Amino acid sequence: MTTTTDTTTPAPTVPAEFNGVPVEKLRGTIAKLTDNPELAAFQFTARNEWIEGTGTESTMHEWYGVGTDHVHVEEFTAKADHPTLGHGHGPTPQEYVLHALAACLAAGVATTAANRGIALSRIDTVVRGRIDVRGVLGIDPDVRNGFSSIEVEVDIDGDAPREALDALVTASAKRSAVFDIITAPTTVVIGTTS
Amino acid sequence: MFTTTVTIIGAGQAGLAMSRCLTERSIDHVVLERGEVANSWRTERWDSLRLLTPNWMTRLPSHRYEGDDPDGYMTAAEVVGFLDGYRERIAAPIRTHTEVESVATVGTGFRTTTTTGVIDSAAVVVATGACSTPRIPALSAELPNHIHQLAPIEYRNPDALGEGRVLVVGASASGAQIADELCRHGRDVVLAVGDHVRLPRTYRGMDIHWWMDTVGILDERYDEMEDIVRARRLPSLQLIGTPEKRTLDLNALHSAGVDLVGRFAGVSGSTAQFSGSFANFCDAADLKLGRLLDTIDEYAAEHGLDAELAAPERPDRTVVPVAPTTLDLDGIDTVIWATGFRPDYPWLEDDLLDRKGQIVHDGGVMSRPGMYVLGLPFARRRKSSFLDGVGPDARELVDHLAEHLATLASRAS
Amino acid sequence: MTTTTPSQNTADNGVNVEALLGAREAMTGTPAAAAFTFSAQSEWVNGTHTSTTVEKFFGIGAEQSHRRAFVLDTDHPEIFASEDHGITPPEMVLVGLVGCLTAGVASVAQHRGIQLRSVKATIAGDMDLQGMLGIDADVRNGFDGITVRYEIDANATRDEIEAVVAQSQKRSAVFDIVTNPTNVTVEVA
Repeated sequence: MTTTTDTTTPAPTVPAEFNGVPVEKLRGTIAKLTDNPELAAFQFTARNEWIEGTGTESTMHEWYGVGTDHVHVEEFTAKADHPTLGHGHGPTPQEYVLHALAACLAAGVATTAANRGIALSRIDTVVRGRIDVRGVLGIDPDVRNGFSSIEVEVDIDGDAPREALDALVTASAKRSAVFDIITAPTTVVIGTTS
Repeated sequence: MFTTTVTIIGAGQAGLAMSRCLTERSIDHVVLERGEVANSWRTERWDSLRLLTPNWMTRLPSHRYEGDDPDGYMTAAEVVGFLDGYRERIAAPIRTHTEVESVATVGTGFRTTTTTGVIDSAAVVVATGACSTPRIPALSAELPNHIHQLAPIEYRNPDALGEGRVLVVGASASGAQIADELCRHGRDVVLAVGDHVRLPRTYRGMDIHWWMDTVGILDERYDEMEDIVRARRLPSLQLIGTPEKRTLDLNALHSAGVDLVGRFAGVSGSTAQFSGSFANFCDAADLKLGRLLDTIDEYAAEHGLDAELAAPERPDRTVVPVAPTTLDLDGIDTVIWATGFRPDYPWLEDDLLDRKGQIVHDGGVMSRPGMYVLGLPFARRRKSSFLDGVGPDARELVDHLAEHLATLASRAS
Repeated sequence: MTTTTPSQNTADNGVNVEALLGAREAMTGTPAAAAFTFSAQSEWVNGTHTSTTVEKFFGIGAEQSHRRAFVLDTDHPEIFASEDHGITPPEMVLVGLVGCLTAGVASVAQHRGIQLRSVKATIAGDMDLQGMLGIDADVRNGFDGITVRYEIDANATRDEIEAVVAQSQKRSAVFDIVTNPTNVTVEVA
């Protein structure tokens, strides 16, 4: 059982913010949640409204954590749609999943690097998700609806040897919420109100 | 070398029904059977198995159930007895312990090569049924070696299995019945649930099969369906035949103590992964059941039956338990793959099959003139693979076959 | 269930059904045309803030482009000691999931002749942070569970609407990606 996100290297003394990650604050939050596990229960929410066809818009504002309700600094909105079948309102829903994965891994790389005192100047990520659309189109019932596989390529420039930078990526995936949501089954329950 | 008009492959209910219909038309034929008559009923059923359909629905051309329990459900042994009796009554010309090695097209006819000799015929009827070869998912290869894996055709009774926890994969009729039996025998059972068809055993006082037969659902024709491919893939009905006429749905299984999880979706190391879509499958099954009961109620009202029946009602929604999405496989001793069957026709020419190895056919008429298939799910009617369905299908296919023979004869003359 | 013949079906939920059926037909005959690859290019900005561009994808045997490049930002909120430049990546998954489900609702409804007036959904994912923060190894990193509540106004019965929502899940790519295990390989360039 670990009390920080990483136990491989002892945390060096670092400035309050490293790679733009406020490490001190983060460690403070971790300590608080370690002592009070009930505060670790979070809930994220999005409210979505149909626009037309396959186009919808989500608004993300409220979220819950550390025992109380919060709001983001602004009401974030995101639109999704489909090429060809849609009206160009936004990227496809599955591309949001790819972005989520890329972003989660990158954020984890930056944070882990900060914990390990590794300064980074660049993290570029390309994510590709392969999908046989005969599944969603109902053409072949033996084909799954979603991605058959996802490949992520992370390109990092930083103040450390290659192996140390590689290790950041492995550590990030290990602790990534989105990596977990995608690779392991996640329960979804859907209801309608009249 | 033996020559006849029609070669029938398989002496189960489909092959025997076809034999009877050909005899009625004085068409010469032979029936080939790899084992004994009703082979799979003898060798591939578990001890306590009973038919899902009530005995009055056991109807074959010129022979029907005449026992004293028409509303009961026959055991596998009783089915064997019934089919043995049928075979004698119709004097079906059967060659037992004869395995088919190949069926080749020769001119306008066919040459069937078997382990007991070669048969030439003008027509061939494939009546091997759809339940010969279990479909075992690729996941099977990823399970740890300590786990004993089997399919329902190999299952006999709870005592034949090891002591520990059993994972039954698939909540079809077989999966639900086996999970139910194991649980009632005090075993620790987990049932992995994907797509399933939920039904009450009785509705408004009548057996659900009586309803489906009366309302005409079992006679729905293949060419009237919007999506016949989907209809043919429907899992078997979640029913059991017991004297108490009890319902075997997920709520009942859960109450009895079976642990329910979602579809078996993956193996990661020694962890089994179950889909998080469990609730969706339950909702879909509940909605489908609701639509069926609506159809039944409409029929009852239109035909003035309401006065004689109990009032309409709706079963409780499936209560979806909070189910884990992972299980440690080290804690599982046995896995039973109640995951259906796959087509297996190595003895048929490739061009008769589709990309997935299924026989290509139009209502049982195969793509090669003179070839027919009988007894596949929803081949001609929703009840095509049931005991009660082979008779009507056989009669219609024999009409087609007789015309084909007449065409051949007129070309020859 | 509402069944309508093509000539009776006047529902227009804005779904380009012709394109859908055309694509379906083309792919039934040529399975290779159905192999798609979606992708995103992401650039770290600072801290936990990442900016992702989505523009190109591959399908129907060729490289394709969205009408324009879409730029998406994600970050973490201030309680995480971040600056909240964008929503969190897990929230982004929720956006993807609910967007996929509602798109499916529109398509299925149209196919069944149901005219939608409005479709609203609230999607929520529960997460125990002891997992992600490495506090408790028995707790998973991601969501323990996701719930979606739909509010749909349409010319259909309650059962018909529920059936549309159930069918949408059956055909949803993101629902599948989230509820079933999906392989991810990560490499360093």
